[in-house]
Amino acid sequence: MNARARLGDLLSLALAIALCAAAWLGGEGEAYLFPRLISAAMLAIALAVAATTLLSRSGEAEAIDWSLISPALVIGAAYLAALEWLGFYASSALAFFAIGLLYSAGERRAATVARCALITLAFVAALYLVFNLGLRVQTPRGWLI
Amino acid sequence: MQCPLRVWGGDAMEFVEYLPAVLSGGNLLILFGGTFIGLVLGAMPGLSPTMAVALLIPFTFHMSSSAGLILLGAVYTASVAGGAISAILVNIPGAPANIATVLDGHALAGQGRAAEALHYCFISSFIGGVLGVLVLIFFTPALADFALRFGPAELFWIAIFGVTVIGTIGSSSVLKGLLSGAFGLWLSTIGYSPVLGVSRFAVSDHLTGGINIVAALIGLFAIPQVFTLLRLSRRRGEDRLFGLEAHSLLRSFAYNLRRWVALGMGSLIGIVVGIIPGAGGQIAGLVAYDQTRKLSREPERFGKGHPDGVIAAESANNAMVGPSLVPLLTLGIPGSPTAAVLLGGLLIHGLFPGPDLFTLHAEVTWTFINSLLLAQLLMLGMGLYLSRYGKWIMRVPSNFMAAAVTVLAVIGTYSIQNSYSDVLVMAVLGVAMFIASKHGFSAAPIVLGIILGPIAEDNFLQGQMIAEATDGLFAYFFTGGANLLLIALCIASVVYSVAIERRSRRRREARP
Repeated sequence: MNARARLGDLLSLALAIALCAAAWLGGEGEAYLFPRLISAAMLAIALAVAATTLLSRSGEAEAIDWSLISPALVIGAAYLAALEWLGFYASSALAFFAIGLLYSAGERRAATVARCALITLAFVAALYLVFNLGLRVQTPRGWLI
Repeated sequence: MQCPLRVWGGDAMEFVEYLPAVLSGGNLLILFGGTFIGLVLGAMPGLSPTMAVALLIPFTFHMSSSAGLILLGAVYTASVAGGAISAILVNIPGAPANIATVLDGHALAGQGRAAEALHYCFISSFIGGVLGVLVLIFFTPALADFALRFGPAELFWIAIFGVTVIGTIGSSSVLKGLLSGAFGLWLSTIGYSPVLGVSRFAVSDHLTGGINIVAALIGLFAIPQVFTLLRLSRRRGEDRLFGLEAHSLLRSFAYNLRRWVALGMGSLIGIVVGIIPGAGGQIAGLVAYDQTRKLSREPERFGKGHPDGVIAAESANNAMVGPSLVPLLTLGIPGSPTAAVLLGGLLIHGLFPGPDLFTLHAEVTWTFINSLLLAQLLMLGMGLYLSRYGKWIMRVPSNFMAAAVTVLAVIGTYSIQNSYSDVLVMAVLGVAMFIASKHGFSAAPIVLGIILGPIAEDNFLQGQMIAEATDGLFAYFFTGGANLLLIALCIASVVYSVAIERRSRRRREARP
């Protein structure tokens, strides 16, 4: 059994305890009856998961390659923050370009950057045509589009 | 018009009346588009049918209910078959349903018979798919009539049964699957109580309106796939991509029909697995492959490029599609994870599973079911044509696919109700799901919990009110033939899954 698996099971138990506390202490009345039933069941299952892992000493958890996903998480957070003040299409173009470039397989030369910019332009133009002009989907608006 | 042929008391032949509706210009165009999109998305490694359907649900808002469901149904059908293109050409199943196809499909491609393997794949998918949709047509109305007899207590237990059944699929252990399902049920209680109108657990303004089903679907399925695609972007080029040889289509048809044992076995297993709530294409394909190999006179050829392996696996995973909608349309219990997502599509169009689908919304329902039949034909034609260009589809770099999925997830979520909060909820759930998936948790039970939660809670509270006025809570929920049967089914599904899990663990440990 690896430490990650044990940590994951303990975290799921902690989450179940937190949700149980929220359901039982969050308020009174019939509106909380169903969440209380569910959270009690959740707590029982989470305890069983933790006990099974500890008793059988089995269970593996895959490692998360944080160095791989961290840049994507940062880009994603910046994308969401920029949506409402830069506008959907402008912020999407920046996010698409950043992910495309950062995760390109080869070396990042001028040609790679230019290719990535061209693909971004084509993608966002297609997005604008389909969603804005075609389907008239409302998108977050900001300084730009 | 009353049809003369009545099957199990239901007007199953009613579907003939609504056939022309599918052939109307707009619906046909959507069917073509959906099949094309499904094949392309299915062929791209890393994009599953479940994610494809989840991503497209918001865009059906702007369509009529019939058109929206036609699009989702066509994408579901075509993406399951399209996944075989990458399974055969690059040894990466486009979807979990195509895992068994890899075993012999890629081996055939390695022998210079890639086109032949693709022919077998699409022809057997078509035959299996048509048989599966026929089962959907003839079984669904009868089961829907049966569902009329259910009251709040039975409907509550059906919702719980749905969670226990699908809770055992996809996760690394039954307990983790059940925990995921319970978590989904809990998430569904955030926001206003549907019966009492009390706000619950809205710790942030973004949660006041509760968790939107489609936002959750997109986050839970699309965002973890973005990270998977980013990982793939670092390993592309390692897989060998095979070219296509010239091969007669007519010969492939004739050969496929001669392999009727593999075709029949695959279709039958696909249909049975599809009807069983919570199973799915992955199981259908693998079981059909295994059984066909056991029945074969030359089992030693399996895994080394035997066409029967491809025929059995592909006929099974497409035969599963239609039947997986039988329990979904009648009882609200999905037959596969993709069907669970499709349930979200039904609900956002105001269509609730049950007999009303075949009475109040008969036109929409039958048009949708008929479109699945036609989608099989389009999938065959377009699949055979597009598979020639399969290698181009697979050369789309994973980093750009990941970027495109991210942007589509955001616009798809935002467009549901123009809510920035939904986008934030989608992103948070997505990242959390990615981390949870590394610990053996699966998205499908959580999604099903979120979808079935309101159904379970509404019926629980209604049942509670009736119980207080009659025999009491225990007698209302725990007595009566239907209640006891459903409780027994809930217990049996968990016990059965635990037994299967133990057996496979013992087998794993016994392996040298």
